[in-house]
Amino acid sequence: MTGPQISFDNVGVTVGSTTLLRDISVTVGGGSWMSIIGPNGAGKTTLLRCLAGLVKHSGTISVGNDHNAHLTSRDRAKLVALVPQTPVVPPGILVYSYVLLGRTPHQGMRFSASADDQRVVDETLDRLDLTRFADRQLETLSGGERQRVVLARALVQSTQVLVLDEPTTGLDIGHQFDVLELVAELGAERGLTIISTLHDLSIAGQFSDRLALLSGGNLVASGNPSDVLTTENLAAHYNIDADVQHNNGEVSINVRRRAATAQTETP
Amino acid sequence: MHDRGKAGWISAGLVAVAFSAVLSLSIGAVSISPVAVFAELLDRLPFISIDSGLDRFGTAIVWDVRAPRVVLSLLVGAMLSGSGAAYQGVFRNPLADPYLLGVAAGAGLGVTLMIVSGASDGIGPFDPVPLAAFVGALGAVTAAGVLGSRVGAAGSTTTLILAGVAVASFLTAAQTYVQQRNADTLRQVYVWILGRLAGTWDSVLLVLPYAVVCLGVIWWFAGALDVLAVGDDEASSLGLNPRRTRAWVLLAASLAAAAAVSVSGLIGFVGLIVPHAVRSLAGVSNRLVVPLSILFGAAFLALADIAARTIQSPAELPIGVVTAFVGAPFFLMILRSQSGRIS
Repeated sequence: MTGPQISFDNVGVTVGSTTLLRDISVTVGGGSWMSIIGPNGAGKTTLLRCLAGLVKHSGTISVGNDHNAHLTSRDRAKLVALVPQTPVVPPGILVYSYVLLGRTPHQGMRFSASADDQRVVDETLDRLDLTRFADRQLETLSGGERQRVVLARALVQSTQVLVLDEPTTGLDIGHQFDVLELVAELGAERGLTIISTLHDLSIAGQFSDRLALLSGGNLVASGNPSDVLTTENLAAHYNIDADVQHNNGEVSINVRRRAATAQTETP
Repeated sequence: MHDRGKAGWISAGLVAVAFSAVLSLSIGAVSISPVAVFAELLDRLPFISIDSGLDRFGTAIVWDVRAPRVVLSLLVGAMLSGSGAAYQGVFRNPLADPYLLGVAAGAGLGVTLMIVSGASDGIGPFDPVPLAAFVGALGAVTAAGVLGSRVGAAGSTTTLILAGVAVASFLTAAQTYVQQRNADTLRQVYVWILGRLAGTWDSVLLVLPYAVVCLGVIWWFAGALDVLAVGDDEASSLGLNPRRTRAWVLLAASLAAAAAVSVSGLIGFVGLIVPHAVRSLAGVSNRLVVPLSILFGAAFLALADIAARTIQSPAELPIGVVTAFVGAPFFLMILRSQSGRIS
């Protein structure tokens, strides 16, 4: 089974007099991984939050044949799972109970866990090599382990769309790769459509099928990593002087230090 | 997977309730053996007939003098503790308590206004006092919640409590003002404020429906409170409607606290001590914390009432004094253990 195609069509977000996103139109192919990149404050997280139904927006977002705005939050939670950038960890919660929360949209009025719920949680803990942590308090886990637990909670939602907001925040380079390679494997196994924000550009280019570059609330470039990650785009939107090389899906970006004597600073 | 542990804890709670009830029925000016009280209670169950050995005098003390007061203390304890657990879940704040959030002060103002205006006699069989307490309680908790989220850093544990303290001081001042302006009803108001369990079957019947409905609603939403523990955004992304959950639980908790206040006066800290102790023993899941808080809260207040009746016997201490003696140091202890988490 392959995940649904996701289309953003003229999506805009305005809060008060501030426009956070303007006329974003981009399509994510079913079963593919698109990463949203862009400088701080570009609106990356806001775009993800629109998809997760957490922000009022203009325009339309469709997930497969479903019109996102017409879904109830419960139905949306069966289609789209969100891994937030800084997940709230309730004090004292056990890993097992935390992962079980992902089954919420599949449960009845009182949110009691069925045998089926428990089976899905057990399988997922096993798949992510977390079984030995099941009875540990989530707070006591290391950053990398904790991120796997949050990912497990999203996976037990049994959705076809996975949304990851900066899934590598706070992890060292080894654990960043652990998490992203795990996501890539799971994406391939389950045919997931994945949308993520990633701040590390070469990592974004390496793992994603497509990139969308946001800057100041506008979509300024989208397409294959080699089309988006260019010296010109990085200069225009990140204000850096970088040498970019694409080689068989590997991306290397070499940023030159701005010498104090060179040119005038951009205002 | 933890169903056996859950059944064990619930049984322990029921035993605690039975134990405190029997003890409370047997201790007083006339001492009655707990064994006889236990036999007397069993005798009232259907299909069981046991001779407790009590004479008519003893039976009358147990059933007419002490039982209403014991039942009332159990109900009030259950409501204060259950609503405390509910507030802590809704606000994601272990320090939330009906007393500290200004709920009790709001209910107090509501009741005082009702007594002063002379409307407390009611129309026919309808008693408007719990309703007045409810309106005051809900107003207070709403004010504390709104002020707490506007004033300080969102999600800060202490800001909500500080807002609650400010609201409580303001409402208490308003209540005192109204009370002093109407000296003719001073005594009536004062007797009520001191917080004593009146101990008549009438007051038991008055709060019973509130206790059953409110605690039932809170218990129904216990699973939703567990989802709410990850915050509004994540709870929404998991398919929960956080606002609706919060509204229902706040209504039920405020009505429970107000009903408790309207029959027993201002009793603090029960809603803080009991759920906290339960959490440190049985884990943080509200599916267990809510029912256990209700059971152990009932037992706790029945025991506190024994202390209130006996420490200065034959005089009585207000029960709120007993709970504050235990509760205030306990509050500081929780505050200290929280200090690493408070922003």
